[in-house]
Amino acid sequence: MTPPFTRRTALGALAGAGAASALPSLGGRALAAPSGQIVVGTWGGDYQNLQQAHIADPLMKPMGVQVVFDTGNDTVRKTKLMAERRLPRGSLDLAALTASGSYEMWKNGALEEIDETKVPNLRNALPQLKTKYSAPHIYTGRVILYNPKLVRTPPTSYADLWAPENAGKVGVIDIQYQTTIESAALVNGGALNDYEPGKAKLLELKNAGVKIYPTNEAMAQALKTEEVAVCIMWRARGVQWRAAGIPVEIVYPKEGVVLYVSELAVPKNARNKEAAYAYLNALLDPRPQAAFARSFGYTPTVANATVDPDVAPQVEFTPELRSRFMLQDQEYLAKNDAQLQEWWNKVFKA
Amino acid sequence: MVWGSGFRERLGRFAFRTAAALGLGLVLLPLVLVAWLSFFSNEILSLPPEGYSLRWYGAALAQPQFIGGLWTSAAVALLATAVGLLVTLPASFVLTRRAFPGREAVVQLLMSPLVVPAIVIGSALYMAFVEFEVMTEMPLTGSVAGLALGHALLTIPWGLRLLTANLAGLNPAIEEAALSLGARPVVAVAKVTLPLIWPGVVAAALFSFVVSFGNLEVSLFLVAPGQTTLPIAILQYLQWKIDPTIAAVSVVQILVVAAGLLLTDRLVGLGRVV
Repeated sequence: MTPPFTRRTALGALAGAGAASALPSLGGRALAAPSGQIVVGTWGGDYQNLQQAHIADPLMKPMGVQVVFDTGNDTVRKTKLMAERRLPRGSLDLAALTASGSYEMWKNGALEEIDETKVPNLRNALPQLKTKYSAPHIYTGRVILYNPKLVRTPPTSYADLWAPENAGKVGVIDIQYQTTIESAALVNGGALNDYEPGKAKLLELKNAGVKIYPTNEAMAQALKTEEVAVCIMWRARGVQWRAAGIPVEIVYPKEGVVLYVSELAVPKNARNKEAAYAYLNALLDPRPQAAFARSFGYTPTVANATVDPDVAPQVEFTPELRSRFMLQDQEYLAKNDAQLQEWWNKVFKA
Repeated sequence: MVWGSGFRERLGRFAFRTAAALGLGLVLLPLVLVAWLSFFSNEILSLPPEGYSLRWYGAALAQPQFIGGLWTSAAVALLATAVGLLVTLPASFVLTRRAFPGREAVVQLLMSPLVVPAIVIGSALYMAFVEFEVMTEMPLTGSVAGLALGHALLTIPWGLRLLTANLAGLNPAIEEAALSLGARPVVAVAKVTLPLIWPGVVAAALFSFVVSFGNLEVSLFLVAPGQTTLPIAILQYLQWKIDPTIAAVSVVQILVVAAGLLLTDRLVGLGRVV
């Protein structure tokens, strides 16, 4: 016999239904849906504009998260992160850093360990680019650029920068002292955890008449005016320069392709961590990843990003090249950067 | 004035005018070059130009950071100039009129922002603001007030030097006459001294504005999230692109500053100031 349907059972049923319908939203609240404002410390210019156009506006705004950019250089960001460690609430919710910058900040206790459950897209990130304290945003590899009109034999190795026929045609960049010493070390018995053999090798290059330019931009002009015919550079820059009409070809050195990774990390004292994690997840979404590849020439860090076919050859790495990827030894660099820079300034540039 | 017509006099005049023209040319050359480069059509700046185009002006306008940066820079520079003058005007009166123990130390202290590299001032101020926040829980970092205060510090040496030089050259008898005729000190300063040193005040304000407007290092640390100054916007643009858009932005910046100078000239007569 079914119980009689009374006012009390009807109310009970309604309450039950109410409770059941409330469950998902309660569950949602337990996960603290991202909302409010986040401050993203980042490089400005096009890097910021693309984040605005492909992450902040289409992906974060619909979630109810307002993104504010704190524009500046990573050196300034690192100083801020260090200075603010004692504050319970820091000024940044996310900080864009180079791989060595985020390692340094992690070692100094400024960064949060990433909770991967809150960044589901991290499962698509290339394993060698992942760290426990950051999400990889874009990356590229180090290559040799050369002008085929001025260099008869295409280089295949960093060692070819020392070939007699290239004497006087090689340029190096002041701010790239670390990678320059590293490349020289790789052809003189050194390794990614021992740059010392690079020093003697670079002095040979100096004697052969190397030209030193202050910045990447100055190098681009020197290549354009044919003052220089060979240099070491990041592939993404090479792609951008070729698009801007600089006559260079790109070569992957046989020593290996050392990677440059640009990352984003959450400071320990971020004010809005839920939204910061949501931003990291959006960063790794295939759509903005493809947009960055098209505009920047850097490579997506997630395996599921589909790059337009016309861009793919310039930004993707073949499996063969991927097998030659090399990662800098951040611990070695953190310990040795100061002495490498001092040697560069006082001995090499003297 | 009677112009001499002898060979030596004419030669002297010719040499003087040539030197003046060369000097002026050297000063103007960078401005002319920047304006020229802004019309190059090639993306990588190199000579000779591959053609001419107005497209970089369009590209500059398409970057919201440049427009926003221009306004922030101007607002912060005006605020910093005002705060700087509030410090330097009274300070110059005291320093030129009174001898007291530690006077030299005060002068050196006020001049020190000129000696310390701006990047050190920027990072030190940032750390000091953070310490202030740790103690009081009142945030000073990332506010326009904090940025303007930092910039005001940079303007102080310029204002102090120009104002003390003007005050030192002032005949004290004029102010004394006003006082002896019964004017109260505040009235004497407002009605007699300030009008006499007015060119110095305008020059101090101009230098202060320019020092603040062009500053990069202090702004990098103190600018509020969501805001940017023009020098930061230019530096950040260069991080990723090296096309002549920056030259186009610089031309606009030069025009804005030139318009400001012309306006100042109409109002106070720059010839009396510089």
